[in-house]
Amino acid sequence: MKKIHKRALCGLVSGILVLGTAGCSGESKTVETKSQVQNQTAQNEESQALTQAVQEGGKDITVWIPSNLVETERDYYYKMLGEIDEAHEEFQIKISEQADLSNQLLSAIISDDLPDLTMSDGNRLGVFCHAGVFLPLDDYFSDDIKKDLLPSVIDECTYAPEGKLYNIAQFDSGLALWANKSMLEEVGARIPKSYKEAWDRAEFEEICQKLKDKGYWALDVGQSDTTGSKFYYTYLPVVKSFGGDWMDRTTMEAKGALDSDATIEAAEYLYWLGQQGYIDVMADSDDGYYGKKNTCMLLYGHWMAPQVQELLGEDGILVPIPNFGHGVYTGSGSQTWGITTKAEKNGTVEECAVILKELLKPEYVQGMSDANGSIPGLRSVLEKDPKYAEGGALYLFREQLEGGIAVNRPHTPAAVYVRATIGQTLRDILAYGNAKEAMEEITADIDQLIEDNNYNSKQ
Amino acid sequence: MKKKLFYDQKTAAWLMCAPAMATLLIFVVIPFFMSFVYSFTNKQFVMGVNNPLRFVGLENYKRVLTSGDMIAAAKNTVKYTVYVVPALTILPLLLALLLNNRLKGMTIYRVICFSPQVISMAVVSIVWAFILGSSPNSMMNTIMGLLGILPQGWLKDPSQSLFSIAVMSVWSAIGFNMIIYLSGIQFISQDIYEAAQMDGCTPVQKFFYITFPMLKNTVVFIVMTNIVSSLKLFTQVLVLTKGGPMKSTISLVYLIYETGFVKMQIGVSAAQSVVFFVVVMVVSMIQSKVLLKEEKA
Repeated sequence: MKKIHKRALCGLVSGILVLGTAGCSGESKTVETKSQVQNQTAQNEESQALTQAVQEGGKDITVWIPSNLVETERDYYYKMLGEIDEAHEEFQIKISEQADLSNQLLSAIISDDLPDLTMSDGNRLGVFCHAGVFLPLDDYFSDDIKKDLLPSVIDECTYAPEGKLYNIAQFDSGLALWANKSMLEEVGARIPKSYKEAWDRAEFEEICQKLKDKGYWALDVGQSDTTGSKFYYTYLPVVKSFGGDWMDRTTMEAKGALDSDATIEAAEYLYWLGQQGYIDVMADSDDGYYGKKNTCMLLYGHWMAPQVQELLGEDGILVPIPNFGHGVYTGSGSQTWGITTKAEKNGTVEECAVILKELLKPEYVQGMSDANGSIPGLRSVLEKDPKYAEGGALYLFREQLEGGIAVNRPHTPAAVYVRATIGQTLRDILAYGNAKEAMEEITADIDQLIEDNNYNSKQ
Repeated sequence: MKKKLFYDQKTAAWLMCAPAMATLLIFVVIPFFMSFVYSFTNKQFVMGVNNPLRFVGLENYKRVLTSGDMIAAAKNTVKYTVYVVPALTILPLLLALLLNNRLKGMTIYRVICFSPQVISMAVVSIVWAFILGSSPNSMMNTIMGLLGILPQGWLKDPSQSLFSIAVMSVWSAIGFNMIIYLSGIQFISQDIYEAAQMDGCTPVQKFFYITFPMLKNTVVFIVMTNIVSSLKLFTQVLVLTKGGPMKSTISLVYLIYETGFVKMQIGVSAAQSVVFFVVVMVVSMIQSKVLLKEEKA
């Protein structure tokens, strides 16, 4: 009997433990309910009205930011949002850091657990707009603010199929060729100071050959990443320069763009660069340019600026991506902000719009750019930032974005799959060629997915 | 005499099982049936307003069974199993025989051999990404260089990538299988070995006529569990190669993940997982019949 008692007790205790973990999530609601009850028992009519006004005015705004930020950027977000919170008594900002923010947002739609305001990867605007995450923002931003925003920022934040502004951004990315000045001078290369002076294809190939003859690798395109995750962003300007694109921007299908002769030629060119010995196809790391210093050029973005400055100093310069026949292009796209549909349910849309307008104040835009090295999204801020002054080390980024040559990745609900499959395919083409067959295969795959998931049908 | 609840052993047993059964029901059984139901629908990760949930019959299954990706994933998974299972059957046995000695410091060696098992596969994958780097200076290529072999692509070479992942998996799991063998070997009575010694048996004869026959059940267990765990290849592919290069490492479970969370096609992914479940069930049944046949006899 004693043994049965012991066993029964063990079963009971384990059952209680299981139930106990399920009961944890209800705590905060209980606290809010109690405080509401306490508030409701206030006897003085005037104090009741005052309490009610504070309750109605003091709205909680949940804000999501990614957890994988660099320390300076993360600290600045807390500082900036903290100051905005203090300046506005009508709401309280509650910041929540999310690991894998993009997937958390998608999961939050299913569980109806969206925040009021959130950051997001601009590349996934199509995914989130299709899923109904964001509210349109056109009514909240005056034409003056929109004129001050870089055209690439407006483009990135506007969901093309609807033509509506759904997000806003404090900054944009910069993309060009980071180059080693000494190596270029060693081979007698002309160093373009502006995208209008960019090398053409023949000049670029001549420089690559001379660099190879000197024992250098000419170019690093991020090939050390076996999944090719960067190609979708960094190689698009090259593809555009060949006359191609990832998707047809009118039909929002891959057919006609990804399998076009121009795009296939751009993909073949990547393989050709590897075969000629200009790219170290088997590289394990991307530090050939700034670490080992055996590579002359690196096709990467603005985020390299601190490392390049530290490790290469004045030798680290920017040159525009060459003109391969159809113009010079640069990349665009970064982290954006949006008001979610949950804010509409919570009645906090106006407060969220206030926060977004605060985020676009010049001092915060400048501060964020200083914190994360990105390109300020406002022209008025760019003009005053010495880093981007004419002749400055990073002026090319500004010139390219202001010049309107930035090309954004397509806003498609299939963005997750499109990015993964194009990146992987280009990495395979770099090593093994066969561009035509590979690009035609993934074009069919992507368009099949778009059709299956009904991504392009009008709502 | 009226029996009280706690004195009824059957009821008490059910009550004590209840928490575990509830957990299994909520986290295994119900999701399994939901997955089965979704496999007959056009379910997406997030349903668009213009694409409501609807029944599609066997459409998803037809697509899965004729899909080139599914066939590639199945081939890769079988290849991987063929690489890993024999290695994880033979090598841990040899290691266990080596470490089955009462010498000073043997415990430390056993701990060292077991230690890869305690590291998560994601961490192991990241570490091995450096070991299996394709540059001439990577650890594996440096060792190859000492043997006079040219630098290899390893994870970047479609003809070597799956084998590289298999080597890494064997390294990770060898310790665990070794421990199982060790416990089996130590269960064999020393009297048998002493008698064999007196009869003039060589160590090789002792192994083939005593050790291996007595370890048959252990071998069967290891083969069966390693086959099932090989079929579930996922973490290594997710961390290292994402199915590339050129789909040479895409596995069945990775394909299920990619279809569900990258392509957002939960319905198709559910159909793939049901097919995978059937495959694993059939393999397990065949294993049970073939490997346990003699024991039943």
